[in-house]
Amino acid sequence: MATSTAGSSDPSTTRRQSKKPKYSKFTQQELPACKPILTPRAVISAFLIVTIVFVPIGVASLIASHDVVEIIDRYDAECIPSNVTDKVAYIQTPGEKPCKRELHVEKRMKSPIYVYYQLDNFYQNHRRYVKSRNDDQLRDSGKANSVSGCEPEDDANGMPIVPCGLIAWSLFNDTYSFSRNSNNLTVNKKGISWKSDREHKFGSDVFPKNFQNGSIIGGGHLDVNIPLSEQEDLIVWMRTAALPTFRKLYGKIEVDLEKGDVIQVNLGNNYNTYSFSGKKKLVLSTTSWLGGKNDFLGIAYLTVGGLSFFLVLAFTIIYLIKPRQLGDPSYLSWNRNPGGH
Amino acid sequence: MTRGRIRARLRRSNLYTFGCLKPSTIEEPPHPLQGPGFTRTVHCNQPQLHEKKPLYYCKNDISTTKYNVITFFPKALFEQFRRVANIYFLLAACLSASPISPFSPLSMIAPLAFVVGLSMAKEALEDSRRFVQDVKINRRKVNRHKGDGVFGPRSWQNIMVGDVVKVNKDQFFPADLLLLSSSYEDGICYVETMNLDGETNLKVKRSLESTLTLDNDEVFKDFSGIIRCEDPNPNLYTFVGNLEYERQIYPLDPSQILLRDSKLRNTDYIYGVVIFTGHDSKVMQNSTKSPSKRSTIEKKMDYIIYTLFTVLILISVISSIGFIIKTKYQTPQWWYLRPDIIEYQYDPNKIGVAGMSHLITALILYGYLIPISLYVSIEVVKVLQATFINQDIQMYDEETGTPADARTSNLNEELGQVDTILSDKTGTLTCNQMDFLKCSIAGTAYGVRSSDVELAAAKQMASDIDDADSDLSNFPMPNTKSQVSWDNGTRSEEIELETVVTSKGDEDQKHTIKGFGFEDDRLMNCNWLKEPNADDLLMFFRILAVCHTAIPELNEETGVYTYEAESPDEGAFLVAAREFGFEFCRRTQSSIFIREKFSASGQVVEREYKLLNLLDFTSKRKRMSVIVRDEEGSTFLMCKGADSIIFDRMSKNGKMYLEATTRHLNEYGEAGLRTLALAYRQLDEQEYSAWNNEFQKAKSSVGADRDAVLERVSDMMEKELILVGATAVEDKLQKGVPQCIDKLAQAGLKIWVLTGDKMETVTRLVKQGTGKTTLAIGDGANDVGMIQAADIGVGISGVEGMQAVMASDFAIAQFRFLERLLVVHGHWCYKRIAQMICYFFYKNIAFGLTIFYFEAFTGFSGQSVYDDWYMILFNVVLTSLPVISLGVFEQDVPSEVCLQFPALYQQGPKNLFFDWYRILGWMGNGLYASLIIFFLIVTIFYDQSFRSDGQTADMAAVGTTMFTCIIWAVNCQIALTMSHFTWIQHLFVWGSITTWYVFLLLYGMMSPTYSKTAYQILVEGLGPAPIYWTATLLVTVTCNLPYFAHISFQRCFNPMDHHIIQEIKYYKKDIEDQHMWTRERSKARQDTKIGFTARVEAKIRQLKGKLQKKQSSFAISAPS
Repeated sequence: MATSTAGSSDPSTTRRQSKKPKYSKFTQQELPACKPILTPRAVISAFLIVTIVFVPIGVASLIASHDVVEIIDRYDAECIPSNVTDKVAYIQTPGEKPCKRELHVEKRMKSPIYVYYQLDNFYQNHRRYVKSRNDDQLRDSGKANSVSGCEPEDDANGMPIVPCGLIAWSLFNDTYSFSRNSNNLTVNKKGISWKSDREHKFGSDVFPKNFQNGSIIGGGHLDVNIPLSEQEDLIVWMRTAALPTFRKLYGKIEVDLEKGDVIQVNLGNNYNTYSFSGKKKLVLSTTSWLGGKNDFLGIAYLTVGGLSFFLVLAFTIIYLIKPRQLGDPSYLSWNRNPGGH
Repeated sequence: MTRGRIRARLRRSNLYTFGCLKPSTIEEPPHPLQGPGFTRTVHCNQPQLHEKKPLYYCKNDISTTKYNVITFFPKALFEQFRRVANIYFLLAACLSASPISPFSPLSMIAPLAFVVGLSMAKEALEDSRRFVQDVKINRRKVNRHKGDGVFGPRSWQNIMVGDVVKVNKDQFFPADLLLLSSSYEDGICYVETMNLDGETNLKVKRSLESTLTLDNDEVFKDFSGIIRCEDPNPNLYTFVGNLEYERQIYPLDPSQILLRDSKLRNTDYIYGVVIFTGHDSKVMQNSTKSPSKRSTIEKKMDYIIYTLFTVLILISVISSIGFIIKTKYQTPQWWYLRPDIIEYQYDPNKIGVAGMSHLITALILYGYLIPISLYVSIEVVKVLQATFINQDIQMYDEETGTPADARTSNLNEELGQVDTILSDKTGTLTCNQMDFLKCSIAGTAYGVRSSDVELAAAKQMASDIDDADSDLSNFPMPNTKSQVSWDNGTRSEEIELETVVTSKGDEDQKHTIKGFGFEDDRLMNCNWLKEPNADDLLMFFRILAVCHTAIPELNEETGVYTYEAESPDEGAFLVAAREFGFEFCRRTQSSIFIREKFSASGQVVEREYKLLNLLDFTSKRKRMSVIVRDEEGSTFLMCKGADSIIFDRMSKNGKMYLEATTRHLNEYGEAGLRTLALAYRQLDEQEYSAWNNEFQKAKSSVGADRDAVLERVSDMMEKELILVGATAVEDKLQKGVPQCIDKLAQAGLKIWVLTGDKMETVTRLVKQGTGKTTLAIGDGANDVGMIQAADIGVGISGVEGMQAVMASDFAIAQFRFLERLLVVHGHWCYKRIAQMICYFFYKNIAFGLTIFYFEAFTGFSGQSVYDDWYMILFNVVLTSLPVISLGVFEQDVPSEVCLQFPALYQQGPKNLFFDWYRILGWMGNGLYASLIIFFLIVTIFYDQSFRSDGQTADMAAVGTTMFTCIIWAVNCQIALTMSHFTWIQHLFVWGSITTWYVFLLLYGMMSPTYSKTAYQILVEGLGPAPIYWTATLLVTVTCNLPYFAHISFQRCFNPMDHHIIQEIKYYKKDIEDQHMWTRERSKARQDTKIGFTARVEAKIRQLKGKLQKKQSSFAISAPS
């Protein structure tokens, strides 16, 4: 009897031992840790660093934005002959609708000068519109028949449309040509799209089929002999914009424009924005390292930098007037309101 | 074995006058058992009859699991979808297959499957733990009659109804048994029911006379009988049934029933027949399903979810109205959408249908406001927190080998918000081991040792004086001499107190006798003979040695008697009597033998006391008496009982020491000791025999009022008593309990020590009354109600009982671990969960609202600016790990500081980190971040080229930049929220940001079939554009600037306690200025009037009074 108890006590002790949690710094939550503390010095330094970093960036951004020369010409109203009352009917009539515009160069523009068209109140980001495309058929010539998602612009008279969908169907088709002092300014339309789009999203052996053959013709037509990878206007257009106001690259003018130059624009006004009162603008712009003209980034940087400088001052002043010694026990709650608990 | 036989000869049943034991001579008619509720038939020793219907009863294996392999999937799934939020996500996932959905089906279903899967995995894990526990119990072995009088071990799960089992000493009963016989010849056995009701005193059970002969293995060869009894029911204290044995029918009552989960004590073995097995047993029937508890924070989170649902519905309605207006009045002109052939959900001609379907679209689209991952993150965090609790080596009890066990992880943060602790006393706070500490005999107080309370008081005094001393020295004293005198005064006193405190250690080593903490040379080694009232002292010792129901046991190795007593008090008295020289050495049926020592030399006289009557203790009588005749032939009634009871029964000339004794009793009470008064009365023979006749008559009477008559007759004798003195025993507090209670009190917790069976009621009243969080702690089944009713139930797992632990939410091995559980883990978990939830809402509001703003720019068409994959990854990968690391690893102050400053705990009960001010602040921060992120990016990327090569930004570029900014902003925000960075936090926070870029890179490298608009977006589009990086920097800083300014301002000018303590630790001020550190620690104590501390404080007041007298005398005497 006695031996059996002694024998049974041994395994029980080992069992007990095994239940003991293993010590490690991790399980005991004692891992070495850095415990940064917001001392006044740290706070003031942090705000100061923000100021020191932000103000120069802001200034640089503003300078960059100011260096950009931009000419914007709204032409949607002006390009309608004054005798036309029904603008929509006018724009929907087939045939050439030429229009001449003059642009005045106020400041020297170094090449490359980017030519953009800007649309307004055009919802390229509408869900129905965004989804209305089929990437497979754009890339792969063997998949011309895959038109799912393209409804209602999926087929024309039972034949699959390439490129299908509303985006392609509503392709922007105003045309611009420029001349300075009766000399043509060449607009280079090569390389206005993303390289990856040309090489990987739009097939070099995919040609337009049955495009704009339906009952209603939307926007521009495509040359059926040029593969999609070279239809750069289409490629640019197919990158849907985030906002209802957007610019898209039309081409590049690769000569400098001098101050005082007058640029003649021969404009083919074809695209219907009149139905929904959308504006059309022609934009010529140079770029800086930051891109086009937009003061906002610089202003925002300067504002935040200034605000943080104000905080530096505020903290310094308050700290000088009413300093709190760090770790001063008199601020402990039981010292601040004795008997309050 | 010799000892066993000697004891077996003793008919113990004669010891009991009252209680459950009816005289066996009285024949009762069998119970008329008929009708429903009394259908159970048990064929004793014929378990094979119970293998088939109609007598098939449930097996003895128990299962406390919620699911089994088959039911797990449907049941657990159903449980998951009882959450409103999950139903919403399920609906969204179902709808995602339809064209209404703004997202792809995968992006909706994958997170839901993940969340539900994880929660179900957790359920499975918890259930499997219960399963393992069940298996362990089911595999316990018991000796069962195999047939032909042979017994062999068999596991509990295979025990059948009708089986005869033999249970040995200190084993648990495997099922509800009918007691047939025991190692005692009168069929008595002692049962410990701690598992059932938490009471540690032993209950006496007794078999029928007719089955007494079934007391060895062989006789069961031919044993058979039939039990007809009540059906299984949860009532622990009733049993109705008959035993048909040898063609006679005997009625059965609860005193023959041994309940499952109680334990055989002080009895070598018993034989019993299994009546109720497994889930039919009373204890299993009695067990209630633990109510599922939710923490205060989680309940409040529901309100936040409702608020966000409201916001969700609001913005969905707003965007639907916007959509309707746009669609009705503008879309017809948008020829590029082909409004002439359009799907119903955009059709301007069916605007009602379109509006409704858009509402659904919007509800799904803005679903990011209600984070699906919140639940899963909280679950993960809580499980990890619980793991840390389980792994805490400082809550591991070496003695019993038990670690802490967070049985549910739902309530971790609730541990940090406890306002009131309800504690069971016996077994939880105290060891239920009594130490005879002091006594008052004949008006003189004996015993110099201090109780725990007195020691604690001395300790606190010492530290208070230390403070006072140092406070004084800070003031310039005009009179140097007087300062010296003060110094002298306090110092000397300090030393005195310190000796009291430190001397304890030495004494502990000296005193090793269990149950005897008494120290006073006047009474030891027969010195009492020299005391003035030696006669009274003699009487006192004799009462101690004679007036009890205990049995002596000789330890053959040491030659010392130990005592098996019904209550530990009684044991302590007998040990005390032995140490005083009155050793109770033998009990026979009619006599008690005491070895009395009247000289230090060791001359021992054995005296016999004839036990004439024993009027035993009941909770109603609150006293017990014996009537004995000594060797000289004089008859005495010796009585011990509650002082108030004894004082009421004293004779006129017995009140000699009344005044002094009362004073001493008050002192003992104040010192936290349990007191009893001792008295006696000498009887003359005539009076006694007259009374005894009446008593015997009453004893053998039959009828309902037998007990009442007995009581009345006893009462007649227990009067005209002469007071001898009083005893004071200490119910030793468990290790560390006083310190723990003191710390908890300092943490501002209210502690109620509850006794009795009204605990559940009290708990409920408390809860309803205050609405504050209550924690109940207990160790026995009697505490189960309290544990389940309280907001948090804590079970003591160090003891053997399982009932309390099974019902509890947390199990700890010792009460003292409660301090660490609450003050460290509770405090941390509360802050972690609170901060985590706040942050979660912040990040999802910041993200979700940008989707809403974008809607306004897309004609409310339901287009998202982000790629589907960004949306999936946002909650699942890119922001989940940092928030989990916040919830698991954040520490405002390290654990030792938590323990040093229990007052920090008050941040939880005061709910400083999850009040509406803070929650709304975080939501406001989220709103601000969403506005900054969206509008800054939209304005920066407005219409101009975003690169030097003239490209303008499309939706993918804007969306990706915006998303980059969100990832930066929310991850920097969490870095600002954290105050504790281990490598894990660094890895997760900065790793999340890195992951985003890595993902973007890899996603962009995939074929455009999968990556779509994100193809090569980082490498070709955004990466080379400086504006992408400058915008990220701007937005990230701008988003976090107000929060940073806010916390800096708050810290500088309105710091919270943990801020100050962080700073003290940071600058190592605690080491430089240890004095300040100790002072602040002691000041952090809350004013409390709770239990132990209150008693300590009363004691301190008393001591201080004395001290002041001393000091003033010093002050006067020093200058002279």
